Amino acid sequence: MSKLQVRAIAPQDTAAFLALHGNCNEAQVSGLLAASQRAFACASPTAEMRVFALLRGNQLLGAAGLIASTGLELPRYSFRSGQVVHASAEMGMFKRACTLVLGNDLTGAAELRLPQLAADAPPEALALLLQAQLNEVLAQPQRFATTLICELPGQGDGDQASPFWQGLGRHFYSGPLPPDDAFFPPALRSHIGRLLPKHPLYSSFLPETAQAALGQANASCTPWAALLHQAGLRARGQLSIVDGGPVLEAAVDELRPVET
Amino acid sequence: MIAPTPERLLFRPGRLSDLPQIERIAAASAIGIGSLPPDRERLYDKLRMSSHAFGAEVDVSGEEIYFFVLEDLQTGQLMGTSGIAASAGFGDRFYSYRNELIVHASAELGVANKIHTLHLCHDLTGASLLTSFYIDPALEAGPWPQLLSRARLLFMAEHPQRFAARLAAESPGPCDAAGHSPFWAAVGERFFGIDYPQAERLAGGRSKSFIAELMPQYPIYVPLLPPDAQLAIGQLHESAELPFKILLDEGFEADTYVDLFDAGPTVEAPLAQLRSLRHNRRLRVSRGADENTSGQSCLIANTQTQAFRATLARLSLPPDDGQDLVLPLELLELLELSVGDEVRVVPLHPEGSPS
Repeated sequence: MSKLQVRAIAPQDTAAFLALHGNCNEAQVSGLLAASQRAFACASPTAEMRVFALLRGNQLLGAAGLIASTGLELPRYSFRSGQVVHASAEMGMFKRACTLVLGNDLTGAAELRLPQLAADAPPEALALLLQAQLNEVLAQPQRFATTLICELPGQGDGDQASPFWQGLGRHFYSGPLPPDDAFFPPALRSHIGRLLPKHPLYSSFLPETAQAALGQANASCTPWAALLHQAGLRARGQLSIVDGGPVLEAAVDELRPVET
Repeated sequence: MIAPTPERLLFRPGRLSDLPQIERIAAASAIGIGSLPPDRERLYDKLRMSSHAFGAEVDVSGEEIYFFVLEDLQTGQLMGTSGIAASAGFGDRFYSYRNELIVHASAELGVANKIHTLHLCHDLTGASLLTSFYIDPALEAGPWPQLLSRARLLFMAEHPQRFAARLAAESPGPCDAAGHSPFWAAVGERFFGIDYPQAERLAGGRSKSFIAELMPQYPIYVPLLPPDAQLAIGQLHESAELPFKILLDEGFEADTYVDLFDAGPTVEAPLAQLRSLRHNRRLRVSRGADENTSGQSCLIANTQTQAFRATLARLSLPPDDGQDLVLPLELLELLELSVGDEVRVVPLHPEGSPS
């Protein structure tokens, strides 16, 4: 069995990538791969996505994207969860209320996109891809933003079943939500941010199911989340505007290596 | 309309000696009235403050409250109450929620959504406030609620320096038989963890702004509230329909503000634009024969402060303000008038409507 390796995706991987990813056409993949080549060569933090390929011999087993500086082409929205305290000594009252504030706090950060694996990818595939992504950042930090983030999918499966979306987003955008796509992020996910409340929200006004989903990652990404945790990324209160999934963050100079 | 019943009701300032009867009224009044606490001490304070205000020389609106009663002269029973606070939230803030629409638009998506929001505001701070309206249910169907509500406006017309140029009035919002408000359950209760009757009791003893400070300070996005709370916004408690209609007929506007606790509508208007302000006439009186039973139903009030008196009567209004209004002795005595004094009169119904 030949050795596993991770390298920058290359034009000859087009057909294999199409087979791996599915929901895209050849023109899109060509565009993605060309952009990736430019990104790998770019000496400053670029908005274009580097794509890493995991191969065994010539077989493409997985791919993962890395953006040096995100949210520079379309506004990148997130909710920041915070709290306000309403206290009155006279009334013996001390109440904490959780808030959600829409913002573009993640703009400019370096972003790890969720990896995509082939069905027969080996167990170490995720770690190998993450290690390659981290090495790329650490080898040339001047080419990246100083913060590295990764947004994890939240609870539910698509917009219908996402309790956070049902409790919040759908009141402001009633149309169907396209699923997120690690390599071709739907512009709609940015445009929706324009329709969401600009004033802070009290999360206590949301249905309990939506509150319970705040900052909860989908079980499907548990292995990936564990690796990010190993690398030093932590939830700091930034949430997906769509499903309430957590955004994990770390300062680049505090990243730790992952075991493969 | 139902003609003024033969017995006569008199609208006058409340007195300390009215306390036992006002206690009885406060106990009977609906939950949510807010300004008539069923508490002897506080009612006493209210009457004392009111007596002081009527007796004081006032040249700018301040902390005064004016408390009026409707007395059945045959029985001596008080049949209703109404009041005015000269300056809402005096020395502090008067909180309301202001209805606003925010348009959330995306050109890319071709979407422009109008989102209804409620903004905590102090807009009505310093406005004069109509308060404490309660009338005995037996009198609801007749003309007396008009007197009880609108005689306050004649008092204000006569003493404008005591009041603000803007006038507002709160109305209780919907609640169930146990006193639970769907709006409070969705908003206030999530912050306080106490139900509406408890909140009313807490607020009753203090300025309402005390609780308002602890309420959500950011705008409330109405679509995020449960459906029953959304439906309650701007709606009336059934007990408030009668006084509310009188205020709307006067020209109050009801679309802008709602109450912080139960989202009942808070109406407001410039004082000078109200019907009773625009259409009242100040006329000199002289003494004549018995009451003219074929005349026009009117509110009539003297021009006093402590001795302010108003009632309903059928009057033949002179065509011209220079001419005397001829009143029977009974009315002169009731309103504590001497020949040559002036009165303010305003038709019970607007010109052209059935009387």
